[in-house]
Amino acid sequence: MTAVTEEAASIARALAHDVGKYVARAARNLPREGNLPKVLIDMLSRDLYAPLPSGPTPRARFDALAAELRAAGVADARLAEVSGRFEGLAALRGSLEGGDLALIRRAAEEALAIERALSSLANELSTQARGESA
Amino acid sequence: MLVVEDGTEYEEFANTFLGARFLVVAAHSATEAIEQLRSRSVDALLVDLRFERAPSDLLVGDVDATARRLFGGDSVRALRWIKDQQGTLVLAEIRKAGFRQRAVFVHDFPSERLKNLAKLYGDVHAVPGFDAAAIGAVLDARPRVPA
Repeated sequence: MTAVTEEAASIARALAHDVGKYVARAARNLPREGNLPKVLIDMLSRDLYAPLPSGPTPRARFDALAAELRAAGVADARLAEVSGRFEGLAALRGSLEGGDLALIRRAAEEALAIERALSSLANELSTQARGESA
Repeated sequence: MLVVEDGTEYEEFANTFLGARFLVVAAHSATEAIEQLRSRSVDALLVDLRFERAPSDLLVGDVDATARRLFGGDSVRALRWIKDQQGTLVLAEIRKAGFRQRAVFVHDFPSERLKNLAKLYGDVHAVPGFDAAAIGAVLDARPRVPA
């Protein structure tokens, strides 16, 4: 197995922060039942699709950082999983804008799954990097 | 609640989900945060950790000194480190200025790191994600859902 460098762990932490944390911002806090206020649907939509203040969309930021991580020698199945989930979210975009409640909730679940995958990847790589530098 | 971040995402989150309990004000640097703390009564701090979008001149931390101390003179890595840790460096400045309010980071710190932060900066907590219920519990507040 390739040694995990602190550089790779740092990229993974950026993925968890810049992508995972922010795509789940509204998704995690939606009421579990009933209709969703428009303000929350709009917030979810922005979390998932709008450019970040720094420029790229979450998906573009993910693609860039995932490429950096692969270049640093990390080939983890969670990167492909998250890429697939972003494909799914792209397909759901019209449903969010159209107000389809079931599909909005599905998009929120995808966002939470992205956060979980990137958070676990960051934690694992950080632990491995610390172990290898110790 | 004083939100300290390099963008507007925390402020919007706090207004949307914690706005029934807190009047939310925002700062985007240590200087701004201390100005806010001196000018109004603040119960709690919600602090971003990474300030990757902040201009270098607003950051706490000396890039050259950090480069020499930690990165063998590599100022690029030093600046990245400073941005990655900026929330804790801002909190250090806030504590130095004499403000002791409960601080909450939205970050998944390893437990040892969080213990160390609490040792250094007192009343410090962390919640792994934007979880209004968890943050509300830490701050003894109840999240709300907008009507």
